[in-house]
Amino acid sequence: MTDKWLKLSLLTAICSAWAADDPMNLSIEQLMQSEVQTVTRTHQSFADTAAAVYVITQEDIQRSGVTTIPDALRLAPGVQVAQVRSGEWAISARGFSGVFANKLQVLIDGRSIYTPTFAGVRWRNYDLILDDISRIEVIRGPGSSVWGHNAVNGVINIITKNSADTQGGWVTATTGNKDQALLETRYGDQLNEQTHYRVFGKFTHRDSQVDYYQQDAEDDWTQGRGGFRLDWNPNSKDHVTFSGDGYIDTAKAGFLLPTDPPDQPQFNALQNSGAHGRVRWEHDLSLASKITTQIYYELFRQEDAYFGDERQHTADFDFQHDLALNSSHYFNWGLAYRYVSDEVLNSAMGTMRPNQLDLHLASAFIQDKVMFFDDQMELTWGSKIQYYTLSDWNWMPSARLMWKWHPEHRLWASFSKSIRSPSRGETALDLNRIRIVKAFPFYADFNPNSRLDEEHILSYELGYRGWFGSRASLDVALFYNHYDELVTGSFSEPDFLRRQITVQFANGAKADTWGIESTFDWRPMDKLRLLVSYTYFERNYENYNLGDEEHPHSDPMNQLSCRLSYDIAPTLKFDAWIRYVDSVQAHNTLYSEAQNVPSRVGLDLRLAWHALPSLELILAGQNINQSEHTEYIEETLAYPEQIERSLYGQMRWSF
Amino acid sequence: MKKNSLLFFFLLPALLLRPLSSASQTLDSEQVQAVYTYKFGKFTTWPTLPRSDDARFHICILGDNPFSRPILSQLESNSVQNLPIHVELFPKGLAANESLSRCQILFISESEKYRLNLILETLKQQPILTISAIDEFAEQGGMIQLLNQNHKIRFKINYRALIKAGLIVSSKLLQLADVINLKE
Repeated sequence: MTDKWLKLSLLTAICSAWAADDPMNLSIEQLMQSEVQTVTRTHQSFADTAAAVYVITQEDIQRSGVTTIPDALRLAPGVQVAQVRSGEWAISARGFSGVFANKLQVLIDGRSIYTPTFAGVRWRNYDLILDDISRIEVIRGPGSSVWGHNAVNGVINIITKNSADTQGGWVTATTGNKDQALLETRYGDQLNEQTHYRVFGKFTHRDSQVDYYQQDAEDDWTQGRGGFRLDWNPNSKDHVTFSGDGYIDTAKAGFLLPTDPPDQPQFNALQNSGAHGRVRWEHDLSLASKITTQIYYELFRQEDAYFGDERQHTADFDFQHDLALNSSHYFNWGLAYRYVSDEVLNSAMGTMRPNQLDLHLASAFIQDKVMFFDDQMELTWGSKIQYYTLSDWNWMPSARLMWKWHPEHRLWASFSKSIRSPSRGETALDLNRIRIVKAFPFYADFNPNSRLDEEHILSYELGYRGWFGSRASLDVALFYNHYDELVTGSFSEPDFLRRQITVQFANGAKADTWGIESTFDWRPMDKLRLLVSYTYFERNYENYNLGDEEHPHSDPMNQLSCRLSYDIAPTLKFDAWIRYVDSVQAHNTLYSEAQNVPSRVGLDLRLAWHALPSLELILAGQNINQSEHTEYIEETLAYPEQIERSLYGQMRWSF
Repeated sequence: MKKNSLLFFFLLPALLLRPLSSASQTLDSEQVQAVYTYKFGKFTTWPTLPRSDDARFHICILGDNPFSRPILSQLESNSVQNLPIHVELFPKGLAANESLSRCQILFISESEKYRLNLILETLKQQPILTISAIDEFAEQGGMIQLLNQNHKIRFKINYRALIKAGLIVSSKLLQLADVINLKE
């Protein structure tokens, strides 16, 4: 009997606890008296997107204590980030990571920073002021039907703040053992009611890391960057943005190179510089129809004492038309053209053949979204059709279906076809007698292959997104990818007499990858947030590089991240972040056997104190649990390095 | 006893997941804005409301959605004048005329600050209650503006805009609000 009463009273207690909290029962007078805390979150359409999307907000970036964009990407579940050396990272999602991770498309305000010359992203050249970033949208899985080729394993959209949101002066100074000097300044003002702008400058000097023998790797780097953004709203139908920036980056050693004999590594002095300008014009034809046009021009130059000089010009034009046909039917289409001219001058190592090429990328896409069954089902389908100099004509369709079977629980599924175009390097690299083994003299010749084709990928995804009460949510995605005609090194029989092997890239491999990504976000109290994400990844290769058995597992099988944010007081904020990354193997050409990088645990801590409304003081540490550790071994010619513990102090002042 | 502990095991998460709060707890501004939107619906009279069996009361949100999914569900579990609430999102700020004319309330997100004239011109004088936290929303022709004053959210009513659209708000609401354009 008492048993029954206990159960009943417990049940009532829980029910009333829930019911009493329903704020919908508040009266207008109570509402007017309620103290509110202002939070600006955008719970936009992502909750309604049938894709594995995660948004890193400005608040996430600040509270995590990261000082670079690559480190910020660790905040997204399922993204594999490994620092290779000071100023170099291997970043991918859903596998195929590496310094030349070529299956991830990355854009800053709609400008692609994926380099067609060597594939992948030169992350250090985009060391923006992190505070200027509004959010980073991370889409795992294919996005080719809208973003075109190379958006195979994911798309990262870095979106900067509108200049109306960066008004006034702002200075941040950071110093520490690794981030030795970071000075960021910004000033924003308005020219008139309709026009806001900001100008900014950033200077950084980041310390070198160490090699396996605890010797200084001498890869410290120094960068100066400056730029502006202007947002102009001449009337309620037109919104124009002008932006641009430029940088110079110097390093004593981009790589630590093997030599012949290999005991005395050489450094290759390196200087990168670049600049871009962009205009974006949004025009509303009506409330139901909007056109967006964007043009940008970008210059890049790299002077490398060893690998030779590279110059690149990019001009890009984008047009998009978004239409709401009725409340359950949306449609958009777009056209784009990009011209890239690159030139690689002869180097000590070899050349590109041809060493100059003009690349043309022209594309069109349509995307249609229809809702049916009382808006419970949402189907998005579309395709991109594209011409590219190195992959000719391709079409990349996708279909995505979302089922909102309950207001707070939804399921989605998708099917997509995408491609990865060969890079200039893969088709044209012509290198002679490169020493490839550390232990004894052995050399490789790399021959160009102008007939290299694109890789084809079929992707299948299944996802769930749900909310439990107003303070917890869960996101789970399952994926399976099938890769065909993967570009892989094709090796000749080794010539032991001449101690030489010939290598050429060819479309010879296949692969299957599958895995699960999950995130649990819980705010048990207003001042406490806990974020846990777990990723599992597995793959199977066929004829990839060195055959089935030998190919190393360069992507971690298990990744776990737990992040805790706690507001000790309104002016005192504490964050802790612990990450586990499974062991990986890397096949550096210097070693005849795959090298094992053990699993690692990284702990970051941050304490921020708002001493004055305009002044914030911060103490932070990254990987504080280990004095140094290896995250990745580069697959090419450079020696492996270790990443050291980083501690820094920061002062943020706005005026 | 075993049964009890089993029960407790299942009910504990329910207790943990519920918001840990007390009466004096501060609320999120998004939460307060959502409740205001619902209450304004209760204190407004529309010239006509849909009256079929499956009719619903449409709260439309134009632009970047500031409300979390659970808050939207709270709205949808309530009704206005015996019509169950249905929330419709227009995430990119794009809305066809046909879908706008079904809205009883249009909440305009702050992302639409620079498109406000276009939006208000498109609506003309349709009987749609417009609510927004955009600066000077009421002065620019919007109906109810939410303002943040000293960590409390108050509201401003543009009386002329309401009358022109054929909407009537209760005198209680007018007493509590800061009212502009009271005379024609």
